[in-house]
Amino acid sequence: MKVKVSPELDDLQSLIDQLKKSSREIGAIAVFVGTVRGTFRDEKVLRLEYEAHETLAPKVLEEITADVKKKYGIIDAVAEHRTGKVEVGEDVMYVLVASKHRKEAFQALTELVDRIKTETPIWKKEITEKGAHWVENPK
Amino acid sequence: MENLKVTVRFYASLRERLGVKKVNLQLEEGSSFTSAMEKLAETLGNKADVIFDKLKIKDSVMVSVNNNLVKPSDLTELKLKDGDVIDIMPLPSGG
Repeated sequence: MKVKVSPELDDLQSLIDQLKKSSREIGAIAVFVGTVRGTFRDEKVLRLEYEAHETLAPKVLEEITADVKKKYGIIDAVAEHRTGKVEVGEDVMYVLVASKHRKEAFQALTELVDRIKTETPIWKKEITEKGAHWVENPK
Repeated sequence: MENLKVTVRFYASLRERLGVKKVNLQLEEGSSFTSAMEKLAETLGNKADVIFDKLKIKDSVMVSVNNNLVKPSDLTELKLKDGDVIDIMPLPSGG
């Protein structure tokens, strides 16, 4: 299991290769790639800026990943999220789930991505051509 | 006697709206989280409504103490120690 909160993501193919090597039982690897969208409603997005709680973000990310791994009985997982400035079209988040079969890989991937977005103390500021605003979680 | 010092740090949109990164509070020994928040609201003055709704912490805010997230239901009776660091954060919006 690997988690990372950092200005840079690891190479995606290397992450897939590392997962494949971790067990001979792996028959499916589900991958989520979050990228920066170039529009917000009718506004043109220039870039995003991410802030993370330096200590808590990796800690929570690790707890969530371990929790989902246990819940779905998957073999291994990776979760990485960028911080700092991220330009439109760039990757911001990699989540990979390795399992014996695809069904639990898809289920675990969906839950893990959802929980990373709603539970990990990382915050997104959207810089558009009309100004900057923090994206609020609609609780 | 005020001999308990705690630091309150703010993150992301809360930090920008408050215009400060952190506030140091001097409290009486044995103070609870609730009394610290009363003092914080007093310190923040007319900006207190960024975090509080009638002296209660808003649902849109999450709290950690010494890098451990604390559920809202556990905050009320929480006793603070000298040197504690309270982080007040908006709900996550990553991804």
